[in-house]
Amino acid sequence: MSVFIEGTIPTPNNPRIIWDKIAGEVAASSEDALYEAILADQPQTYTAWRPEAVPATWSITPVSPVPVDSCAIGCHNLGSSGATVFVEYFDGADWIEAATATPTDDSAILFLFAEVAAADAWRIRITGAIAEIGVIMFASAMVFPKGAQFAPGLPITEAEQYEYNVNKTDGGDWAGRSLISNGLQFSVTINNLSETFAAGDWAEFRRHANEGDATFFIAPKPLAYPKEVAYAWSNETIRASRNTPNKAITRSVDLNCQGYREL
Amino acid sequence: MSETQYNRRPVRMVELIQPRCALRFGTAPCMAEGTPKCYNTYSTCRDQDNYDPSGSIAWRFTDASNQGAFRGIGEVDGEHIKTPVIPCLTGTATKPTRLNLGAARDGESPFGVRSQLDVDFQDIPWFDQWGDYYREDRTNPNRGTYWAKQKARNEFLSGWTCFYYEGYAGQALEDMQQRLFLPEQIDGPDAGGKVSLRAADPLQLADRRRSLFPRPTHIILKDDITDSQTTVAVFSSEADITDQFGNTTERYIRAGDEIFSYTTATLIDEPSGEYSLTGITRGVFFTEATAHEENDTLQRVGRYENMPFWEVEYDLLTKHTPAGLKDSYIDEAQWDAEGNQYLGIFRATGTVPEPTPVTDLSGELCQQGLFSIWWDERSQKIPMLAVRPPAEEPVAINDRQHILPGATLKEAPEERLTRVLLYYGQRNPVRGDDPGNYARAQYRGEPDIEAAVAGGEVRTKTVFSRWIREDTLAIQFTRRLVARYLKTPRYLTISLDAKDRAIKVGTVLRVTTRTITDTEGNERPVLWQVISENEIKPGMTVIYDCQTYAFVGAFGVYMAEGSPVYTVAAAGLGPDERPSGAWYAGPDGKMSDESEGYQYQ
Repeated sequence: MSVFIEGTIPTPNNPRIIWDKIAGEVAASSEDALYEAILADQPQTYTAWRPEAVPATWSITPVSPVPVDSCAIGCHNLGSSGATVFVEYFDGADWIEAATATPTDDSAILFLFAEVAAADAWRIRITGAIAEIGVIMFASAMVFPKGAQFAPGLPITEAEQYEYNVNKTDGGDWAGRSLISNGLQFSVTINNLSETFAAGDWAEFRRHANEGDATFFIAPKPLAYPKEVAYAWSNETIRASRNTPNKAITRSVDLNCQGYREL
Repeated sequence: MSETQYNRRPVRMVELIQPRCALRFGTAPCMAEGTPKCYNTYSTCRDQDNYDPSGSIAWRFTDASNQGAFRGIGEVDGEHIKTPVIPCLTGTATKPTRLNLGAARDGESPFGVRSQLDVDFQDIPWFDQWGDYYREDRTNPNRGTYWAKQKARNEFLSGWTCFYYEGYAGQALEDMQQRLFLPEQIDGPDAGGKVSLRAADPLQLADRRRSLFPRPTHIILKDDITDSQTTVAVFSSEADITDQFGNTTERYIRAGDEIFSYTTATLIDEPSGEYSLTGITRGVFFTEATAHEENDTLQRVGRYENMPFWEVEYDLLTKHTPAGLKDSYIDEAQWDAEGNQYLGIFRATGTVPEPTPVTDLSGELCQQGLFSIWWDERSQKIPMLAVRPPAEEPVAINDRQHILPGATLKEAPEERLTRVLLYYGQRNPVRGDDPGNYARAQYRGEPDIEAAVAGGEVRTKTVFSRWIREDTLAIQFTRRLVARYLKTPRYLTISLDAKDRAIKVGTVLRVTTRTITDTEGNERPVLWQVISENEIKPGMTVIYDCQTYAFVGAFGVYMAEGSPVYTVAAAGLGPDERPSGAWYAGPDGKMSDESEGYQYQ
């Protein structure tokens, strides 16, 4: 998992959730049969866009320009393919680079950059190798006004779930071990949130997570822990409970998440 | 990554291959009209006369946690689509093939216990992103779930195949273990979205209800005939009167208790299907020629003459079962090589006077022809194995390096035999199993074993054979059957780590375990033959059922002129011919390297 921060962003260590992706017309420079471009604009993890050749582009053009300060990519094999990714926006005249990276593995990627208020279109450009991408989101990230609880907790980087099967022979010798991977399981706790936050950005996210498409990207501490980012969903109702009689700091969020992990 | 590597990650995939129409809706030759447009399935076709099933779509399913292991496998090749994986698989269970060696276990199919695959799925929202050529024309393509739509679009599963892949993350699909099944039914989705698929091996097509030999025929006598008439008029379809049932030039037909032969069937009147049968010989095979009346129903009779037993079996499976049991499931070259090497002198001659399940006939042929057949899921073939000594060195396994805890050892005293009585040289095929209907009998017994001091138990098996005509085979059959079942058959069940899963059904093992000893308590290696394998934990643990193996020692095989002497063969200076050769032993019965001398088979 990797967070790439380009330039200066506000409160870089506050948790970010990318969910409210921009809607628009999807296009690509090319697409293989069964791997159409539109599939990367959908939340499921088992479909993907795959170009026929590189360099390749995947773009989304909103009906009208909206602010964007993040790009998240999940369920991909960019790292193992050896591809390089560029995040770009169209300013009406040319494509401008917002961020770039050459991933070293196939875990979730989050690009954070200074907000672009009104780009005509956004795209990712892939060079170096053909790869598949399951989920692409361009969005204005939901930034929590407080930091995530540091401890106790399980880092996303150590949240993989394994089941082990060890075979020992009747004579007592170790014959082999098999392991079954079952994705990620982790939690993120954020305390001291205000009623204003809960009624605003948080309420919209709750609706999405509890009743809508459900999936999102989450990075609890983007600058300090850039490896901790996941494409995730919750298996229980997401809520922000009240804990103190002070409207400015009363709410607490405990997100129990499952996340996608490339095998 | 493979089964021999540590920290292997087992993965599995189920692939359902569905035939589809290769045409496009409303584009000639398809004349379909109306809405909704088809889904290229027969059930949804609006012009079934022009339906072209030469296309296909392979739906692939895996566990949600394994989808990353199958990235990138989707492909389209003309009218053949192979989808990327859909991660809605929630469980699989296999019931393995269980070999019935030489069809010797009564009450069990000659094909043994049939293998079966049960798969569980969880239904998921489905918006037809793959395989729907008319998606843009649909009213609401995003509505509904995958399995609910599949069930609505496919009323039958005939022509479908199912592959079950078991492998490890990092393996290419073609390197994974693949098993072939034919889907039988799909239950669900239920209110919770659960779906269950049941599939069985292709030998289901030979089961009692589906395959009869000869098949029932509808042939009607046009007029009364006398007991000596040699020209007979009948009403029949062309297929019923001309199809081959066996390997003889003459055709045979049964009227009541009489069988007569004919050489020619001439069409007299096409609209009514009247044929004239000529070249007739009345009352063949010890049946009595009698008069028959107008409108009597006649039945075609099957007959094989002087044909190797395994070739009769091959003919039955490939020509007298539904089209789904393809030639491709049988490696004819393997059958011929095995049969010619070990069963070449055994020929079958027999008459089947009425429609008889192919599975019953197969049981007779396997038992009396001294071979076994079964569905090998891994090779996706039906191999043929003669009842014979092993050609390869048995695989050695032991407690320390291989056998996991939980081995069981059982005896089957009810399968023991001390005597075999074979009636052969059948006279009248209509008369049935009556000793007086057979020209000869062969008896094999072991009086020493039956003596009171040895236990005093007499166990007799009586066999009436329609196929055996030769004394040589009769002697071989009775001798081998008694030899195999004279001692109480025992069954050993062991679990092995997946690193040993190259062992398969038919393999001969030399097992050394603390639970089997000699009279002094020392571990005693014993030969067993694997009759069943079940990967109880896919990619991790395999359970093998084994049966005691009767052939102990080295058995000789005649060698070609110019073959090396024993010392040269044993020195490894060329291909090791010792398992498939024979040399004379010394006076002490030993070879020059102190190994046991060869025995006659």
